[in-house]
Amino acid sequence: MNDSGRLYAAGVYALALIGALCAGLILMGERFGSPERRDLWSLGGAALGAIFIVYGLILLLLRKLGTITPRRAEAEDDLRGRWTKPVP
Amino acid sequence: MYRRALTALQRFTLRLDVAINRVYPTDLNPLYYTGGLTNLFLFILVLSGIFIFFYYVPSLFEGHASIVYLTEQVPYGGLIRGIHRYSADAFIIAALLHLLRNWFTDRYLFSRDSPWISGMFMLLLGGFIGATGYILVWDDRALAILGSFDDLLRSIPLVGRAFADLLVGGEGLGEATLPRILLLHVGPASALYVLLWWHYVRLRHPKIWPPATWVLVSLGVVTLLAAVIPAVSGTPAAPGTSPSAIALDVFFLLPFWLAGFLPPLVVVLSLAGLFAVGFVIPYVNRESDAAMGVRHAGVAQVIDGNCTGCELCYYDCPYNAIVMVPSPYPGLSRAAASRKLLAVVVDSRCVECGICIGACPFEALELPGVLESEITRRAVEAVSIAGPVRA
Repeated sequence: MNDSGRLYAAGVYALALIGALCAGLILMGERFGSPERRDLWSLGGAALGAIFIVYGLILLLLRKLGTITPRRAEAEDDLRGRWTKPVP
Repeated sequence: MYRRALTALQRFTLRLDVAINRVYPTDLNPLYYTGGLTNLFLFILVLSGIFIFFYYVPSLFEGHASIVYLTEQVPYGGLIRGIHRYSADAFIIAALLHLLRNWFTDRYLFSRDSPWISGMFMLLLGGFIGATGYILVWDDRALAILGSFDDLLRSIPLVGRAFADLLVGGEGLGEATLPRILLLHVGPASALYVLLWWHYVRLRHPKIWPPATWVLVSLGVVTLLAAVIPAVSGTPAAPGTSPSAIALDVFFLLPFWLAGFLPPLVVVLSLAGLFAVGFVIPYVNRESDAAMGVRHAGVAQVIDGNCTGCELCYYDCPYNAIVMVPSPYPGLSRAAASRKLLAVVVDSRCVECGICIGACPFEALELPGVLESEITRRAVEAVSIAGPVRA
């Protein structure tokens, strides 16, 4: 793995940690909030939004690392349908 | 002057693409998915709208209270309301970016006119749906918007009064008002999906949905915004009192805000003029066919005996002009003898581009006005002009 690859991998770990912290925030809000939990809904919502963003960025870094490939539809466009329909 | 400006904007768009492609893998460039992102935000709007629909009471006396109940009492109701609110803004932003990108890169001319026209209808409906959404909240701002909307409609000669009565549900506010506004909010939103079908029908490889990365990031951004800057209601609407000033929302409320400074008819005519330009732009002020290198080569024709049913032309045609049908009889050539499918050209969709001829390895397609030998000669000529490729 080259330097940029190591950087991306470190980014994935850092983002995964942030995602876990956000999930922890939601659980804490549900556990320790008032009986109606209304006061912490916005905090939970913000944590949920952050989790979505973090997971999206993790996917981006994994793609840059080459761990995941372009989605099938993209490849199908490039290969003129040969992915599913082999050239006779 | 117009063409020169458009060329400069096209260069800027393409340079922006190149710059972004240096950062992201090319298949993840967000600017390639402005249409898909618009579709994503529409999907989020529909889902969050269905949730809100369960709690909303379209009544002058209970409309405001039902929204406040949803926001403050229903678990995460305020969050979903905020997601609905910010997704509406994001929908318009993504749609405008999509429009500008296609305008600057000339993807609205000739056979691309139907996606352009359907897109203009969607933008118009999107703005209308957003404005009716503001009214449904039924706070002081909603009352001001409804009053302004009523003034704008009544300023239209001949039919304006009828339109205004249709919107409000009679001469003045009544119990019919909010159910009508709700219908005018939900009905056109459903019509957007019919327009989407029109938008996609001529495109072979439309990017309907963005990659998972951008789905998650977009959903995350609207959720985060909804939590950090929650959507809130003003004081309940009190018909008969003088409405408050309309806060500026550039995406949905600009016409109503302008109506505070300009005569209503001027605002209506400006809006109508803007959209009229949008609707006619694919048909005016374009270069001549000769300047754009358009050949009149005739609609592509399938040479029945040579077609093997391999579907390569079907996959390559960008205009959905080729369909594959079950072959009624075997082909004449050896390769076509055991074919299962046969290519058929839909005349009304063919733009005579010749891409299918390049795609077919069996010489089973031709443009009546251009011989294949001529195409080969031009291809060889173009390659020789480009010169040898250096390693």
